[in-house]
Amino acid sequence: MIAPSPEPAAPLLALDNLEVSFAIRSPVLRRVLMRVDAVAGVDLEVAPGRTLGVVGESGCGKSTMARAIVGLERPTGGAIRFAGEAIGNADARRRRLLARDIQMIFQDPFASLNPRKTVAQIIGEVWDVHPDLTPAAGREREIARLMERVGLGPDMAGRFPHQFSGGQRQRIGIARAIALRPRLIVCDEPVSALDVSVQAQTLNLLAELQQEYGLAYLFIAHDLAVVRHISDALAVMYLGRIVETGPVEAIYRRPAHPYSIALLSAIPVPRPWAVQRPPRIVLQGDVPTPLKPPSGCRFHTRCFMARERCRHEDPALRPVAGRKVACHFAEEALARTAPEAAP
Amino acid sequence: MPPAASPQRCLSVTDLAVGFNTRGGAVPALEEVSFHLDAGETLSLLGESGSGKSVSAQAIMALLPDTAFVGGGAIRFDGRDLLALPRRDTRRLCGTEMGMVFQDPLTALNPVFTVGEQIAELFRIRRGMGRRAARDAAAEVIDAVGIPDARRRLDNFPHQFSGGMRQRLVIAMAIALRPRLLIADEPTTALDVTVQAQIMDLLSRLQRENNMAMLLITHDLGVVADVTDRVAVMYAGRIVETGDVRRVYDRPGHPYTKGLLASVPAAGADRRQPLATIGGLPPNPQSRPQGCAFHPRCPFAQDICRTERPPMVELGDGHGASCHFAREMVADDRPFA
Repeated sequence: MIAPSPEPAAPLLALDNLEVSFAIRSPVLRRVLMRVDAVAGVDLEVAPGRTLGVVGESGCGKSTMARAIVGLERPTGGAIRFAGEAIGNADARRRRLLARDIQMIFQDPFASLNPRKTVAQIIGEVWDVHPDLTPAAGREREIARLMERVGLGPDMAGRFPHQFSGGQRQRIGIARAIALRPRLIVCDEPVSALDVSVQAQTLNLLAELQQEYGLAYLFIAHDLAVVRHISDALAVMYLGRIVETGPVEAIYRRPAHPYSIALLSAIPVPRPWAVQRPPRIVLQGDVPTPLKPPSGCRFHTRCFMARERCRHEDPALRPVAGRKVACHFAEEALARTAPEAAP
Repeated sequence: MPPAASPQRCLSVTDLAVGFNTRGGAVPALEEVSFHLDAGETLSLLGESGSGKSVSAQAIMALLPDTAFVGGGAIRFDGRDLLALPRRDTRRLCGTEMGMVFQDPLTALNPVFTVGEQIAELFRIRRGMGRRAARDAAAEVIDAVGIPDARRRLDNFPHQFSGGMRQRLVIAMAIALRPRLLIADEPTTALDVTVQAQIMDLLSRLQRENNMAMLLITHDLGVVADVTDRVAVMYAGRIVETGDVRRVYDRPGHPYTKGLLASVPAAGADRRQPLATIGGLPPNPQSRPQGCAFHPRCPFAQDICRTERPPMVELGDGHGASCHFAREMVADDRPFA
């Protein structure tokens, strides 16, 4: 395989063996009964101006990882580096400054906007914390400009969130996120609550903004078609770990981890008869609880290729065919996936 | 697969109109909705939020909220006119001859009873079975939907099951009495992709085994293509296109269907190209546009679309689209933009 074009010098965001675990305490004495490793050692990089897509099923830790990056959860191990600087344990003051560079868009456009504030207040309040970015005199004009930019009429500035549809509310959330001119936006399932036609509008808007402002996205979603469309690189997560990561097209065309293979084969596509795709692999059972992750490879209980070794030995992420895969038998898995026919 | 000779008509809905009483007056939810379903066949109602797909299902099952009223039309199930039956009799058909699977399995199960009690109850009340026989029957259906160790799990409560397993339980309850029609309202929307594949496989298998008719309500174009024979696309309370899934998806006759298909990111498409979008928003039911309800968002709209409501244009082999230019749409491969 030809090496991909050289990576931009330094990653904007780098996760280095990141761990986030939650303590489960007894109800009375608050003793720690056990710990859940929601994120159990994740290495990732997001290049400036690029999009890293993260896919995985519920409970795989993708949202916890996102929350740790923006400072809503504290890492219990490993490091988060933004532009080279460790930010995992930043104090409140530092965090406030970091908010200029790292913003977040949430899944639920109904829950993430204060219902008692007008759109103008929701967008404008970020400058209460960072007054040097937009002087008070220029705020109104800047709010109007931002609203127009995300496709909302500036005449709606006095309205409240409930007066908007789901897609429009997500636009308000996007306007608020870009108001601080960040370099990275963490998008946690930004389009999953939206209808198909509105989803496409929102994805196009995100792509335009990326071009204009040179934004980097960490884009979390469970819709694999959406992730493929918007991402440059991809990370597939399972039970708190990355199982495969690399250039998005390489993985979509020839996944090399059995979980990626099954996940990609399970997406229902609108016109299955018009595309050539490998036979569907239906995994047995559900994702195990992160309270008691399986021994060895965490995927072995549902894996269609599992052997004895997988039960005992935890596979490390290692380079295979232009991406990194955490599977003892990645080469064998790769051989199963025939190259996708050119469209 | 060739269909069996003269399949049996299971359900037919003709010109159904449903409205809601609100403080601002009556608001139409469904208008002139017609579709039919034969035994062993699957029909998908495809649409975005507010298009009327769930209201259609509620009307069939007599589950409409009190503020709703049926303004006209007929719903015939096995030859009986459901709208003429007393509501109580229709509700009696639910669970016996019609089964329903809801989107959220947790709210469809009672948290304070074991799943064994909930499923056995069906057999005791509807079939008059004794406790022991009902329990055996319950174990059998739980086993049939692929829950391992069925007999032991009868004594578990719903919260002791995972999301996918709960949906299997809801399906078990829906099919327990071998209904002839299964209505599945977004059955996999709350589930993960790999679990969704399991549930769709299960539904297809059960349908084949019991020669059940299935009405699948979904917003997911991919799920439709996966399991259904025919599709009815809904927009603003009306069916705008209907026909064979393959025909409809390959050669859509309605611009809305065309737009929906174009909005889904396609594999291998140039990522730098923006996705095709349907501009604007679905109309407010209180003030739907004159003429064709889709015209304000339609890139192909002409003068006639603004004034005249389009008829359902017959495109052959059961394919129809309610667009003044349906024939041109099918013949012309112009992209939606």
